[in-house]
Amino acid sequence: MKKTTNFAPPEKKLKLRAYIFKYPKEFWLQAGGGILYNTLIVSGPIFLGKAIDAAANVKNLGASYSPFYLYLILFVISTALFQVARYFKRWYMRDIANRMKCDMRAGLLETAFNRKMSELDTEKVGDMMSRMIGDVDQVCRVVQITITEIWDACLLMISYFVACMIYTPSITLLAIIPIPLTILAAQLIRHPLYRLSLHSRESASNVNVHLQHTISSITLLRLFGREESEHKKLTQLMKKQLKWGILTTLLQNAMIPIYILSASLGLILIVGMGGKLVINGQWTIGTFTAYLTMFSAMAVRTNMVARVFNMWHGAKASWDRILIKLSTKNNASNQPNELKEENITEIKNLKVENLSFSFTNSTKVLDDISFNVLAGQIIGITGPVGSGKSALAQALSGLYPYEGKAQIDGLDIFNNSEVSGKIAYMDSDHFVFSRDVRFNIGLERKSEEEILVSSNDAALTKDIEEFDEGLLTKLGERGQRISGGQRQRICLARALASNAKILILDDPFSAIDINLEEQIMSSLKKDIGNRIILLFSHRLMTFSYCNQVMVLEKGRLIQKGPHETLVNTKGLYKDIFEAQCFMGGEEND
Amino acid sequence: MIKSAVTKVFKKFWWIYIILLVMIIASMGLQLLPALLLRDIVDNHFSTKLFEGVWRLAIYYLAVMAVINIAEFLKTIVTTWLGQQTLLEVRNNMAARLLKLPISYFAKTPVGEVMSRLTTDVGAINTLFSAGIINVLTDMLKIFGLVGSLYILAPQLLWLVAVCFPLILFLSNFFRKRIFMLEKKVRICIADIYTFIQEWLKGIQTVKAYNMEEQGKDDFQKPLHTHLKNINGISKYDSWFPCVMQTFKALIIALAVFFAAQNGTSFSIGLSIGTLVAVADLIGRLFSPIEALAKQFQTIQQAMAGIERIKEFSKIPIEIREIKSQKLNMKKGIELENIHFAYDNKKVLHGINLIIKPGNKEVLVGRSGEGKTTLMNLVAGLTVPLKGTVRVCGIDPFALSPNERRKLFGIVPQMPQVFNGTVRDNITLRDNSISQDDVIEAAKLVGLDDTIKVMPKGYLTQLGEGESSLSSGEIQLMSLARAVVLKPKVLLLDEPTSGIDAYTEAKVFKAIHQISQGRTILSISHRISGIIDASCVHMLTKGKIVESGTANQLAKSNGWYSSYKRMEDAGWKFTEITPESI
Repeated sequence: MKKTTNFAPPEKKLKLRAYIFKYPKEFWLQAGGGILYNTLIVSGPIFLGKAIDAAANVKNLGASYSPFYLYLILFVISTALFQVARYFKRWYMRDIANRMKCDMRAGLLETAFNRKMSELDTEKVGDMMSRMIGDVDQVCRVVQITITEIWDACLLMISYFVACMIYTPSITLLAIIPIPLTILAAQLIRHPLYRLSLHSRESASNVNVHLQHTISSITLLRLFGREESEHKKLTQLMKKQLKWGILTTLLQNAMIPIYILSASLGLILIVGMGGKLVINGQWTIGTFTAYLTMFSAMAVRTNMVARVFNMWHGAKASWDRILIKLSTKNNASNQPNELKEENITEIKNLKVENLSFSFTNSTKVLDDISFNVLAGQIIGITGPVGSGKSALAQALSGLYPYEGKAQIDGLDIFNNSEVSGKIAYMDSDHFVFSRDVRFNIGLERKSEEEILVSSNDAALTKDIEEFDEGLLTKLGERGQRISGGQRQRICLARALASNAKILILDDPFSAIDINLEEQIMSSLKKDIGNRIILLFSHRLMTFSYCNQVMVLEKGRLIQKGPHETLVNTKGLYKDIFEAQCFMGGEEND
Repeated sequence: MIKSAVTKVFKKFWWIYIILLVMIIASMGLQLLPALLLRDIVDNHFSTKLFEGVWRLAIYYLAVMAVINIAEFLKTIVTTWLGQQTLLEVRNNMAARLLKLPISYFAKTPVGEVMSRLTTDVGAINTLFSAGIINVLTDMLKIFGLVGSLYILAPQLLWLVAVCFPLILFLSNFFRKRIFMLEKKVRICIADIYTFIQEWLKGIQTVKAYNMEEQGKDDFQKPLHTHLKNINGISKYDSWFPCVMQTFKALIIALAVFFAAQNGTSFSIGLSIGTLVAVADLIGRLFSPIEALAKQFQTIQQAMAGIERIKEFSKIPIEIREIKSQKLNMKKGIELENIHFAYDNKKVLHGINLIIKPGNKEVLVGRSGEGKTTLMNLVAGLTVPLKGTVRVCGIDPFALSPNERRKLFGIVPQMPQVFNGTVRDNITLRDNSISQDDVIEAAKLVGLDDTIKVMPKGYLTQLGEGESSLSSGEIQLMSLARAVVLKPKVLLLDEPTSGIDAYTEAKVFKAIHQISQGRTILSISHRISGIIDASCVHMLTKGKIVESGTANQLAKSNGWYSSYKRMEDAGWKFTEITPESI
C-alpha cells in the first residue's frame, strides 16, 4: 500500500477520468467491493423476511424452530460478509479521492511553474490558493460521492430491481415508472445550479484575494489608519459569499422532497396491490416486508442519484475553475527548461540587436536597444526612474518575450532550453525563501564551501557569523528576520553561487552602504573569470569598476562608453555622477 | 470569539431557533408514524384478510412521507441560513481581532498561516453550524422517540437496547478520539500547504530565473505526503466504522427477533407477527440515527479541530490600545526620551533621546539592521517602547485613533506597496472623503501627475497584481503622494529614495522641500546622500545616537547646499528629455 512515488497529474491532466484511473489497483478493488456489497446486500432483508415467515409458521402451524434460527444466523453472517466488501469499497474509494486531491494540487502548481512569466504576471496568489484548496476539495469530494453512489445507488437499484422482478414483475414495472422521471427532474436545474456554484466559488476567491492583500500590507494599512476600511470591504465580500452560498444550498435542497416523493409514488401501489396479494395468499407477510424494504431503499437511492447529479452541476463549476489553471495555452513552449548543469558551457558573448520590450497590454518601455558584451566584462546600466532599467533586466533574463534579438553565442535567450541555467537573474524584488540562509544561497545545489565563497564575495560573511544559527538561520517569510540590505546581499550571493555565465543584477546595492558596495564591486571584478555581469544601478560611484557603462532614458540608449569617458563628456551621466561623487566623498570624511 | 458569534446570531434571530425546535420535535414525532401505519396494515388488514382501507392507508403512508420531507427541507434551509450567519460573525470577529494584533505578530507569522485560519479553519466549522449540531440534536431526539415506541410495542425488549447502547458509545468514542487527533493534524497540513503556495508563487520570478521549478515540485511533495497520510488515516476509520455498526445492527435485529419470538413457551402469549415486523423495522430505524451520528462525527471532529485553531487565534494577545482624544500642541515636535526596545529578547534600541522642534527636518543615519525602522514604528505609534516615552506634538502617538494618526502623520515606508485598485485608490487608500483635487495636487507635488495622465485611464487606471504598469521608481513616488495627500503635520520618511536614481531623487527632494514648510520631518537613511536639506543629522549606531549636528557640521563643508543646487540644475537642464512637473 505504501507508495513513495511523487504526486503528479496523470498524462491526460485535463480529463477528470484520468485522475481516477491513475490508481487502477485501488479502483478495481473498490469496484469489486462495491459490486459485491451491493449484490449481496439483498440477502439481508430476504433472510430476515424468511426468518419472520418461519416464526409465523411456528406460531400458526406449530412448525419447528430450526428454520427460524437458521435464517436468523444466515441473516447475521451474510450481513457481516457484505459489510467486509463495503469496507473495501469505502476505503479504496477514499484512498483514490485523497490521492487525487494531492495529484491535482501538484498539477496546479506544476502548471503554474510551467507557465511563462508574462502569463504569471496576471496571477493573483489569493485566487490561486482558493482554487488549489477549496475547489480541489470540492471536486474530489463529489468524485468520491459519485463513484460511491454508482455502486451504492445504481447497482443496488439494479439488484433490488431484479429481486423485485422475481417477486412480481407487474407491480415492480408499474411502481418504478416515477424513478427515471425523478432523475430527469434533477437534470432540469443543472444550469442555474452551475451558475450559482460558480458565483459561490468566485466570491470565496475574492474574499481570499482581499484577505491576502490586507494581511500582506498590514503595517502600511495601520500606519495610514486604513484598517477599518479594509475590514469593511472584507465584510462586504464575505456577505456576498454568504449570499451565493445560501442560494446554492437552497436550490440544492429544495429539490430533495420533490425527488423523494416522486420516487416514492410507487409505494402506494405496493401497499395496495401487494396487500391484495397477501390477502389472496399469493404473498406471505414476510415477502411483503422484504419487498417493501427493498422498494423503499430503491426510492431513497433514487433521491441520492438525483442529488449526485446536482452535486455534479455544482462541482463542475469548481472543476472548470481548476481546468483553466491546468490548461496551458501554448503547449509546445510550456515545458519548463530542465536544468542540466553539464549544458552550462563557457560563453563568448551576449549580443543585443534592435531589442524592444513591453509589459502586458502596455506601451513599449524599451525601444531599439543594441549592444554587445564579451565574456569577462562588467557592464553598468543606469538611467532615471521609468527609463526602462528594470525592463531591460527582465528582457535579458530570458523569462519574458521581446522583439528583436538578444543572443548568447548566437542562441536566442527567450525560453530556450539550450540557454537555460546560463543566466542568473536577481530581480529588484529581492525575493528570499522563508528557509535558511544555506538554502537561499545554494538552492540545494551547492556545497557549504561554495556557499561560503559566494557569501564572502557578497560581503555576507560577517552577517552570517552574527546570525544566531549561522548558515542555518531561517529568514522568515519575505525575509522578515533580516534587514533589507542583508536580503539584497543574500540574493546577490545566490546569483554568484550559481553556475550561470551571465549575471543580471537589478538594483543590488540600494539598501547597502557605499563601503560595502565598494567591497563587493572589487570582489566581483576580481573573480569575474569568463562571466558577464550586467549591473543595473542608479549609484554611479562604483561604475568605475565596469568595463562599459550604458545610460538609458525613456526606453532608449542615450549614452554608452567606459566610465572614465562618460564622466568627462557633457551629459546626464556626468552631472549625476558629480553630484553623487560629492556626497559620497563627504561620507568618507 | 465563536461563543460571541453564536450569542449574537441567537439574540438577533431567537425566534427562528424556536421555530426550528418546534420543527425538529414535530418531524421527530412524524418519523414514528410510518412504522405504526405499517403495523396497522399488517395486523388489522393482512392478518385478518380485510382489504378494505388498505389503499387509504397506503396514501396516508405516502402523505406522511411528504410531510416528513418538506419538514426536512425547511429544517435544512433554516439551519444553513443560521449557520452561515454565525460563520459570517465568526469571520468578522476574527478579522476585527486581526486588526488589533501587534505588528510583531505579523512579522513572525507567515501570511498563508493567518489566511488558513480565517478561511479553511472557519470553513471547517461550517458544517457544525449549518447542519452538524442540529442534526446531532435531531438524531438524538429520534433515538429517544424510537426507544419510546419500542417500549410501547415490546417493553420486554428494552433491556437489549440498554445493553447495546454502552457498546455503541464505546465504539463511537474510540472512533471520535482518533479522528479528532488526525483532524487537528490535517488543519496544520492545510496551513502548511497554504504557506508553501503563497511563498513559491510570490517568488515565482526567482523560481523561474534559477530553474527551480523541479525543486519546487519536489518540495511540494512533502506537505502533500503528510497531508495524505493524515487524511487517509481519517478515511480508514471512516471506512470501517459504519461497516462495524451495520454488522452490529444485524446482530441486534436478529437478537431482538429471537427474543421476541422466544417470549414465553409459545407464540400465543408472545408478540404478534405484525409486532415482530415492526420491531425489526424499529431496530433498523434506531440504527440509522446512530449511524448518522457516527457519520457526523467526522465533520464534527473536523469542526472541533477548526474550533481549536480559532481558539488558538483568539488567544494571541492583542495590543491594548487605549484611544484617548488628546489635544495637539503645535509648539512641540517629536520628542523621544530614553527609548528602549527589543525584539524577542534581542535588544534593538537602548536609550534613544531625540528632540525635533516643530518645522525642523532631521535625519537619522545608520547602517542597515540598526533599528531605524523600529524607531520609525515607535514614533508613528504602531508599537510602544519597552521603556521611555514617545511624544509627537505633545501627545502619545500610540493612543491616536487611526483617523487622527493619518491626519497627523504622512509616512513613506521602506518598501512601497501597490494595492489592487485604481491609481486614485492607491493614493487615497480607498478613502473616498479625499477630493480629486487633493489627489492631483499630491501627484503633482511628487512629479507623478504627468506619468499618470498618459496612462490608459489616468487616475482610474487599475494597478496591482497583474497590472505592472509602473516602474519601481514610480511606485516610490506614488508612495510619497500617498503620504502627503492628507497634508499631514509630521512626515516620516523611511529610506525615501532607495530604488530611485539620483535624478529622480533630486525631484523627490525638491518635492519634500516644497511640502516641508511648517511640517516636522523625521527621515531615516543608510547613506549620507539621503540627508540633503536636513537641519540636523543624527548618527545611529548599535541602538544609540552617537553623533548629532547639522549636515554642514558633519560634512565639514558648507558645500551641501550648492551640491543640492547642482543636482537640481541637472534636473532642470534635462527637462526636454524627461517631463518635469514641479
